[in-house]
Amino acid sequence: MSLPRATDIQGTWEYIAKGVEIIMVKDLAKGGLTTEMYMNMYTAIHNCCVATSQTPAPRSSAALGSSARTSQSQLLGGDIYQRLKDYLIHHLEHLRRDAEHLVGIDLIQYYNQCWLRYTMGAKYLDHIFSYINRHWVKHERDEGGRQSGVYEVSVLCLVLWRDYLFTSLSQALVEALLQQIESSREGNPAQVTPLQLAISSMVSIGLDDQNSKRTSLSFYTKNFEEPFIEATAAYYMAESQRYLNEHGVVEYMRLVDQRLQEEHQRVAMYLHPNTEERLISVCEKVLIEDNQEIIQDQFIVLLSANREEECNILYRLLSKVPHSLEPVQDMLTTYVEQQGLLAVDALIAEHEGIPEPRVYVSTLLKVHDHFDELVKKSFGSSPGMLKAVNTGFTTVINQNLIARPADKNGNRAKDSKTPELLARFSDSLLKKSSKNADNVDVESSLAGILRLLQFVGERDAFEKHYTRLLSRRLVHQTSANQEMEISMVSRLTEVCGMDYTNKLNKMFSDITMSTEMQQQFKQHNPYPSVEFTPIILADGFWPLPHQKVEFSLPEKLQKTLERFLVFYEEIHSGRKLKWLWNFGKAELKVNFAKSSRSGYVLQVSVFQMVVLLLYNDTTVLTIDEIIEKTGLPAELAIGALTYIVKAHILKQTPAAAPLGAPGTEYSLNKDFKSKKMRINLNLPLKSELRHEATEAQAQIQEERNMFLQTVIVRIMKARREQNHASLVHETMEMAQKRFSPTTRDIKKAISALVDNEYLKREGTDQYVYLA
Amino acid sequence: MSRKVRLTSADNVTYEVDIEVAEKSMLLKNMMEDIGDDVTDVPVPNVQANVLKKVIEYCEHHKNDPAYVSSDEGIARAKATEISQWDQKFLQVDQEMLFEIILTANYLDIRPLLEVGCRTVANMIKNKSPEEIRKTFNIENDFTPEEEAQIRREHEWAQDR
Repeated sequence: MSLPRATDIQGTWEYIAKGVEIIMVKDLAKGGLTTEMYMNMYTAIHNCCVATSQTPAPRSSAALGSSARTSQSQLLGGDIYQRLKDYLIHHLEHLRRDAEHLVGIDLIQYYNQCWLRYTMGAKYLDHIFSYINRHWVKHERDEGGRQSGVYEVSVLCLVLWRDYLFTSLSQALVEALLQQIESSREGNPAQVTPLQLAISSMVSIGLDDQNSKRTSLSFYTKNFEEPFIEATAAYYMAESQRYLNEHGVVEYMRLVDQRLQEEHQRVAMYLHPNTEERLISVCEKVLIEDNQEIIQDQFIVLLSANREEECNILYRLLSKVPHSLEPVQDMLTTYVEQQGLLAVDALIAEHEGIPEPRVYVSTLLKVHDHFDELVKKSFGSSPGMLKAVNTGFTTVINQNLIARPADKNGNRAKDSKTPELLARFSDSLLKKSSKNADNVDVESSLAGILRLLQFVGERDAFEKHYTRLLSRRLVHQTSANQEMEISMVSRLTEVCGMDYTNKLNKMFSDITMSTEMQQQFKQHNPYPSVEFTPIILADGFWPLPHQKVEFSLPEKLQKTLERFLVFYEEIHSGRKLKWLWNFGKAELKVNFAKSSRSGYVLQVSVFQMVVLLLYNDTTVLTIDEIIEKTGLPAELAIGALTYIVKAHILKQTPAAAPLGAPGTEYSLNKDFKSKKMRINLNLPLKSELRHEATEAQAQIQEERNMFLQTVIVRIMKARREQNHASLVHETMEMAQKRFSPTTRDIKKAISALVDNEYLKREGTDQYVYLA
Repeated sequence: MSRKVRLTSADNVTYEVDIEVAEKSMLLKNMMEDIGDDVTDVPVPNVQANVLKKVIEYCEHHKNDPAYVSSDEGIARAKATEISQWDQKFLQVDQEMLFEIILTANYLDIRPLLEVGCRTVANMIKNKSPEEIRKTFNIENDFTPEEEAQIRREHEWAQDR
């Protein structure tokens, strides 16, 4: 078949129309369109455009210059383009008519089939008409831009599909698609490919008005996504109400969990990825947010039944909706409080009173372990849930009945005893004792104390007690293991800070230096009549109260003491030493008893030693003689006698009289007998212990007051002026790390500062800093 | 061994070339993609054998060039680069042949060849007076003296002074 004449536009179109028909309608598979036809169609179009343009336009004598001449080179092809457009419109209207009676999956299938065939043909057309694309279309678009209504053939095909086929079918088609999706939500397996194809075609024909080579999602969004999201919301709204009524909250949560997964998969299967965010958020709103109270109300039920898996689902669902976890966190805090306080109450009931610290600590740890584990297992270690647990646990530690016991009238103690109990437990662990044979046990118990310590509100109280007990261990050499002590101190640094542990380390170094000095003194004084091992402690670092006691030291000891003073003056000239006699101790070897030839060793306090040494010269002394010869105050002398008499080393006559009553006599008991060779008489008196504890508490109060004043001064120095409420608030915040002050404490500290003229009141509410 | 196709000119002369050579033409490339692997014979109805031979020579030589970038950027790059020695020599042909090559490059959609051809023509015009250009391309001056004067006035700004 020969090519048409180049100038014959109608002839050219008729020539290529046969090929176009094959391309758009007939069989495109092998042999449908031959290479020759392909080349001839292209050539005919090319020739038509080229030939026409070579015909010079008639020249007008009036039109001079460039404007007249450009018409000659005007690009042609518009006629062919228009004929192609007409053909396609006709073709599409035909396709549309055949779709009018179709619904449901049949419509989708038909639409897809047409779409696939049409887009394949469009690709051919774009290539065969590429000469028009390159020249005439390009020129029209360059000149006319968006308004030209001229597109490259591939785009033209899509535009026509959209305007002449899709627009009139879209309602029925989208309806059919939504039906299919609803049916798949009902549990009928959906055919993925047809849905995927039809939906993605809407993305393809969403042409960008600005740039025809790009697609814009707004067409897909408007035509499909919006109705789809609406249908989804309606579907799940109905389902959630029905399911909650029929199956209850727990089953409902499982359903929601599964539904969310399904919807994620749905996006992957046949929706545009951009739809995911909107889809999931509408699902979360309808399924979770709109029912959040019902879900939240289930929390305590699940928690108290230990249903970890369901707790986890509940947590995961609610965590998707902002703020919906907050009530749950409050519930968790309250629950932890209740459970913790109940555990302590049960402990008190079991022991019929306050149990030993070890049991108390392990009970608290058990509570903490339980909830810690829960946060990991059920709440994905979420910081918010962990915080809720910790808040509740802090209350447990500081407010339980052991921490703040009630008096007879039911009034609770003001300050928590937990810090002291923790310190005392750590002391019992670190002390030499037959109970603590196992180091591993001690280690893990200490680790437990440190864990609890993080929740103790009054950390300063713990520090105070710990220092006090540590100083006793060091001075009395009752510490079991130096390494363990040091490692505990270094771990305390994490909780209490460097400032605190630096002081503790100073105490350790005092002891080390004293030991060295004792060695030097030994070399200096190689043949002592008595062994003397003084410990020199830095003033102010040790919480050891100094009692000024006048008494007479036996001559032998007095000489040794003086020799030491001379020795010490040589090394550290000008230092003043204060002797803490009440902390001194001694060992006496005694041979008075008939029962033992080798004698006994008595471990005694300095005061007990002074009393016992009197019996080197005699065997009987009255109380007045004892007081006179030792020079001790009566109270201390009687205190010294307490355990000596209790151990039957001295016998009191008359036996029935109160200890130290006027006229009582104390004689050496030669019939003394004991299974042990070493006997410890240096035991603290009960009255002293009680005294120490109250003393410590009073000191803590005093230090807190000072601390608050320092904090307030620091704030006021920076601010110069501040009103009452903000000052109290800021002080509260800064003190929080050490302890939780009450508003009253702070008011008291402010008043003290006003009295001392650091601050001045101004108006009703204002304070001014006075430099 | 690479696949071969046979190109047949308007005057029925057949040239066998590697498929990569034929694919330098966007027209042939698209066509072979559309129709499939079994294309062996391709008529080229608009091109005479002597021109087709020349164009094939060009495509053979540029067989391994990177694919043409169809964008303004590509054109700017083509403008910036000089015509290579081989291309200069390749285009040292009579004017009639040069125009035939350009038309064929346009028809077969071989962009680099079209551009290099147009550049060659542009170089022929560059730095020449209208009279010299008329002489070069054998163009008859069909302006009246008045017309010519008016055009000169309108384009005074472009005059090289």
